Amino acid sequence: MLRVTWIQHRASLLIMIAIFGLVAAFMIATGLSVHGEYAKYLSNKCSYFGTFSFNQSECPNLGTSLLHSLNNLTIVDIFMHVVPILIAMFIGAPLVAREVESGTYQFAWTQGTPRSSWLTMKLLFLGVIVVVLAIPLGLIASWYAQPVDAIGFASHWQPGQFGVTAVTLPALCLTGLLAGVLIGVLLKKIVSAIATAGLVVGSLVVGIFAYLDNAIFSIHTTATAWYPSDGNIGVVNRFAPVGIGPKGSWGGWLVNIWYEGQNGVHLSTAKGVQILGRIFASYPKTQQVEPPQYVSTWLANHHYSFWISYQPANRYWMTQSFEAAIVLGVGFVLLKVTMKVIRRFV
Amino acid sequence: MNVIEVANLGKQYGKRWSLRNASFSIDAGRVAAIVGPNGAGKTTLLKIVVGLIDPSEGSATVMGGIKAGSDNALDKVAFVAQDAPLYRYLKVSDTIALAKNLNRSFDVMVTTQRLGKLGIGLDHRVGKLSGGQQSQLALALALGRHPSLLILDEPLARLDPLARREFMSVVMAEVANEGLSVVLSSHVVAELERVADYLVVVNAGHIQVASDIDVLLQSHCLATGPADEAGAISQTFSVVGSSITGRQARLLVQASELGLLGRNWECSSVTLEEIILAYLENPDDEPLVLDSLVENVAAKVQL
Repeated sequence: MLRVTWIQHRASLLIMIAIFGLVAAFMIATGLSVHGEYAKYLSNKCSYFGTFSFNQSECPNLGTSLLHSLNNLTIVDIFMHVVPILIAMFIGAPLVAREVESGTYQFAWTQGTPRSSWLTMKLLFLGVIVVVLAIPLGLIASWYAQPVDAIGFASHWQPGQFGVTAVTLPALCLTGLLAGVLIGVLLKKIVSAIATAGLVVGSLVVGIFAYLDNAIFSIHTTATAWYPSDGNIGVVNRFAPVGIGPKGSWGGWLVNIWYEGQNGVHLSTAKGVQILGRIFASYPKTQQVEPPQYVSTWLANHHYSFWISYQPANRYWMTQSFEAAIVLGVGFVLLKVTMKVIRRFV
Repeated sequence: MNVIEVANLGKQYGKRWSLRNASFSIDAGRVAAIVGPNGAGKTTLLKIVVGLIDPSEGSATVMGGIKAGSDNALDKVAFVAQDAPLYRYLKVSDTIALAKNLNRSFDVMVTTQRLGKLGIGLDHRVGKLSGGQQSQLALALALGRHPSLLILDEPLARLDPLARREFMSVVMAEVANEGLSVVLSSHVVAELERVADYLVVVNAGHIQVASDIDVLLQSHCLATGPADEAGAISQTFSVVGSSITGRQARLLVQASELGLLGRNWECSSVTLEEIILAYLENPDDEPLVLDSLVENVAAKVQL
């Protein structure tokens, strides 16, 4: 059965393997250069922020070289997010639609095996291949981005990277496959199913990128009092891996900031901006006072406090697993719907 | 045991009924032919019986009451669809392997031997086989399952006369040797008359005739007599078709006692094709179910 299933789907699987291979080869080739620059950066004890000195003579040049070598990170992220869409289009959508178009469903579904079992066998075979391909691709993507995360230019929590690890990428690919199959079952035409699968799974990926990541990060955060800097969460997040922010947040992901007034009353964003303006306006220009100390004192004197909430670093894999579980849950629902539709098919 | 039993069966696509109020049963051991014009509902009926589609109303069972399309039914019923759709890119040997994997029991040796006799090589790609060879392959795969009921949808449509004969000889050998029940739909009425012993006529989504073929032939005659008595005859007997030329009328009559037609009338036998065509030309006639000569006394059964 494996051999026959392979023969039936080898064309689309070979296309997928070729695409996966190209993406992996591109990441490895460019990633070796990134890691080479990173090794030089580390050997010179360079760091833009944190405990190492920034003033090593070679550091600015090395930092620039490292940044240049990371130019392909965006391309890699885009490639990786397209992978589940391609799986939906090339493997999922035609799975049943091709049977209907060619009429072979009349052979396959009138044998001794019920059609739900027939579909389960196929999905198991294809699903295992998809997962086996996606796991190393996710590992390579994480390896590629590791220097950029380590020096604090980006974070492995940020949506572009969070969805393409060895945990989340296989889940996305599997759900992409299942979404493609359902669309193929509903539309029954290969070309329209492939096009629709691309659009639907593309929207799913964008939805995860834009909403799901942040929604998951907002669950069960850790909150701590801190002092405002420039108020930009994204910037704070970038610096978190190298020790900017409260100690517990290092390597984590800052989710929210807010001001509280007397008795812990949560203040509006507009009020927060107003407070920050007052702090800056009152800052003594001649006095040598460290900004954090001055800001903290000012807030305490005026009965305000500044808070941040974040996901601690040690929750990264748990959060990864949670997102993967949600995506797989969507896939499971799609599978159940497919099974229901296929029983009453044609 | 009824290998097929349908009751008030109907299938609706949108607002259009492809099949409606279909009720009949077919005994085990029969070779039943389902005939009707294009779009009459034959394929819809067969697809319901093999479980490919669900009926919109009514029920269909196979092999003594097993729900059509259920797991139990799939084990006992083999189906060869119109144009024998198989995976064109697979080799014959891979197609056999697929069939083996999709069935609890599958006789690879018998299938291989059967194909060998027909000169169909295992290394050939299915898509490279002729239409006749593809039909033979589909039949061999169906028979390799040793089904109790074989359902064939227009199996002869794309075969030349010789290939038709070869195809049907394989089917009839299986009927004789294994006690296989067969239901086949076809346009080729002459071929059906040679092999079938039960007839179902489907017309405009309705079952018009469901009868043992011998009973059907014996209960119909071409009555020739005076045109002025034709009206009286048609009030007493069921007239399926008629033509009047001058003073002479020719009526295709269905009756339990054809001898009662009267002295002025001469009754000559008709062919199955003539009967079928006469019914097809009158789609609004009431359904006719003749299961035996004894039951023929009642003649008509309201479905």
